[in-house]
Amino acid sequence: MKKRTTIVLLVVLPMVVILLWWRLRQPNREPEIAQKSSASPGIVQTEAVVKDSVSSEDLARSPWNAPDDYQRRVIATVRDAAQKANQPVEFYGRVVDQDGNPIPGVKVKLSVRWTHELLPGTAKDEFNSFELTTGADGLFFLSNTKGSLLSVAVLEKEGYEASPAAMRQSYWYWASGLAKKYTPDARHPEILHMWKKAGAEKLVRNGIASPLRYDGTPTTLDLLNGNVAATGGDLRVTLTRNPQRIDYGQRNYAWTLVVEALNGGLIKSNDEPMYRAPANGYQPKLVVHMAANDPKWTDEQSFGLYVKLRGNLYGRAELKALVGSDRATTPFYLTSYINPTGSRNLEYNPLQDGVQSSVKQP
Amino acid sequence: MQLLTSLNVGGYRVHLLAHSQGNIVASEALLLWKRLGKTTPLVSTYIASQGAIPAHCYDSTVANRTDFTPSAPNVYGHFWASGASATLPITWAANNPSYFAAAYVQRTAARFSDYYNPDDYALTGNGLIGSEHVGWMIDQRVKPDTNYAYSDNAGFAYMAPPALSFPQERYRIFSYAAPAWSRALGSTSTGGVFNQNALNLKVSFTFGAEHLWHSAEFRSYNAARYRYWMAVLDTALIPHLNP
Repeated sequence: MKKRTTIVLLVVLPMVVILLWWRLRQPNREPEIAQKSSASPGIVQTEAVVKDSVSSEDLARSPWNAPDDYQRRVIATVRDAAQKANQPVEFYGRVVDQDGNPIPGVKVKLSVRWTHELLPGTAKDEFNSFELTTGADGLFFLSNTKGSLLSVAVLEKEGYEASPAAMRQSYWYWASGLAKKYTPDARHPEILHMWKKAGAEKLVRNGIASPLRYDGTPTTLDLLNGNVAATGGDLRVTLTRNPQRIDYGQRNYAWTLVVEALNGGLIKSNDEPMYRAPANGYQPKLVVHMAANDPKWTDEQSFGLYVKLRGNLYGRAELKALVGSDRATTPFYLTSYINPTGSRNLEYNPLQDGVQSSVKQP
Repeated sequence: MQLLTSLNVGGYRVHLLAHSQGNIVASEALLLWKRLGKTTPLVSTYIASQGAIPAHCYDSTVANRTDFTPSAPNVYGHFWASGASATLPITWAANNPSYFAAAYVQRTAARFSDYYNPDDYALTGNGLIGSEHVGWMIDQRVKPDTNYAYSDNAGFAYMAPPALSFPQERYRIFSYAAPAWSRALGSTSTGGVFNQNALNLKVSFTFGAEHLWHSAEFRSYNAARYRYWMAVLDTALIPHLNP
């Protein structure tokens, strides 16, 4: 009898161990989605049922005032959505200045959106905030959390200003077809720029709104006085359009915008921010031509310019031309910041003229 | 459509800005205008801002969502066409045009623009708190709503047969029963009548991922949102000051 028991144990025990081992090795299975179909005549309710995930206790706690079948489907769907949206989040970043030097001691605040089940069948998208500090090499990293979307909320260090581009990025960890899923890579951290400030100087800031004719009639702008100049001036802007007369909303016609520096030069730029004018590389004019059949045809043109004017003054400008008007003129806007001292420093303090506001932006 | 028609009578230019679900109504007005056989634009400009409407309505080539299997055919991307079954969308031709396909709404506005935020809270989230907040993504997943149903062999229905019919009952079907296969218009740029003519609110004005930003242009004051409103004027080619 004892011998038989031993034999049974020798056979059964390994089987139990193997079964347990096999079960534990199974990855976390996705909830099974089943399409319910019914043989009953007429209309059937199609359901995405996550089997066995909805208990009677869930139904009792659910705030939905609806039939049990519907509640089960909603509860299961919300759970499935939350499970898929809450992906493991890792993020590796490096903060550098405008010259590529790593910046230690930067306060980095990351915001991670995640889906939080409240009562069964209800959920809320919430944000977890993580505050980190860059090391000597400018590096920081986040791990051991879950969510669908990460964004950089704050980059802060005395004497530095975060690049607008750094604050515009977002990183999706949820593969939903919404955006390309972000793949973190510790060997290639995301580079986030901050501008090492030299200190704001008093700049001459002007906003000019000046309609342009589209028949090639030039408009000359005085960037120190902020007006259209009858004589002299710093920039000459010319727009030609073919045909000159168009209907409102008409597309795919040719146009050419020419910006000329009258006593200096200009450089088109995508820098963000544009706080230090280049010492050289200035061109006498910039020509933007849009062919009628350009696959990326547009009737709007916005860009940044570094300008050198009156021999030795440096500045920056944001230019916007809307060439599609069917009226006699078409809108044109230019905002300029000129350093009147001859310095290439273009950092600007919006409160330089003592205008202050205590109202916080909502 | 009647309102827009009456505004047009005075010889004014009418610029139409629709926000979120307002784009359902606004686009429908343009569609109805075209169906009347009109060849002149109903509005000068149509700006679809943060549109809570399937992108497939305008452009059936927008990528499908990958996080769930829709329980009914893509009736937005490939809508009913004359002569097709009124109740069985599963039988419709796969190349049927989308509901607001360019052919159906082009020239109803002289200029079209899509203002979108790829991280929009209301349009890309999974929040579902009763009727207080219904995230657009999860709302598509839980369709058909309670008492509505779909099956391939009987179509869409409410409570019991007979099936709901296209095109007469399309509003009910869209609202309560048919899931979108794509993301919302207000979270992406699209082709179709918008022809990728779009403004990314996140890139241009740092609209964020929090709930506030879905309606940020209304939940603030003009001094803080002047750049959004200047963009609206620019899209409509209305000259403004440059502060």
